[in-house]
Amino acid sequence: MIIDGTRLVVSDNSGAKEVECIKHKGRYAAIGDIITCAIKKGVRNSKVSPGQVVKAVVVETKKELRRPDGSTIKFDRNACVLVNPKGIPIGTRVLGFVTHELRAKQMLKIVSLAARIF
Amino acid sequence: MLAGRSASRAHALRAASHPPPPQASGFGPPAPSFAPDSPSEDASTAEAFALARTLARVAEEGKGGNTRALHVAPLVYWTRVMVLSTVTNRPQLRAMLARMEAEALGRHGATPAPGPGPGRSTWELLDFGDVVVHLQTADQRAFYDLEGLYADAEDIELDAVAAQDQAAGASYQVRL
Repeated sequence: MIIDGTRLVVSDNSGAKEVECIKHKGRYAAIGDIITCAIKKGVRNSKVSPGQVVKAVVVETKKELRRPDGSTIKFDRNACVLVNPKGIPIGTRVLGFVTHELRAKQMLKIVSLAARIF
Repeated sequence: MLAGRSASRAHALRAASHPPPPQASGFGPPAPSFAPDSPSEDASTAEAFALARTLARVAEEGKGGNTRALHVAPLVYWTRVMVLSTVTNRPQLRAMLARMEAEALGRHGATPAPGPGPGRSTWELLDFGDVVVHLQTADQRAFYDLEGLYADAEDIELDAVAAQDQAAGASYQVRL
């Protein structure tokens, strides 16, 4: 459950390390939702810089995600992948976990760049 | 019990004939596993290969550059084949997407997963389940380097397309 003010780890190689959610749709954002974030921490000389406002896709949440077969999956952290306004990932590799729920939400580009899909 | 002893022996024999996959090191998809496919898996893989060859042919006819089909089933579980092709501009990308959808539906009865449709980006993809098509411009293809990420995948022979079309009596004409 991601709401305004939630800090998320960036799990791609875009250069950002930590972002804060500043806008989301609905009551809260979950895995596969697009949120608006402000970059709080980042690497120098990268594509993005601290203070920049970007869009991101939530890929990991501490709140468990229920699946149709009754199983649940949850992660130790809240994480996201930065995307541009056209929905294309800013980084070239997704370093953390992604779930196959992203495929149902037409985010196969992120799944294609990920090494660990669960 | 005898049944239990034979079952455990069968399990041991199965484990010996199918060694565990090698450990993956570093970033990237895990190394290919070498477990043999079941007959149903072989049929699904053959269908995926046929669809991939059709889509690759459409890409070549649409002047898509450096078209490749990668057999990624040993690396990932969410698809079997990835088709990559380079386009030069967005009108060409849109036209190629439309032709691919039409050919896949006409020849194989396959429809892509519903999506928002081609937007304003220079990287679009079609998701047919077992086959995923990536259409990118040259700079996007070099930037994201999907071929490097799936370097362990084997290339699917696309020269069989010409022979396949001759056998099927293709009716399309080459315009000079």
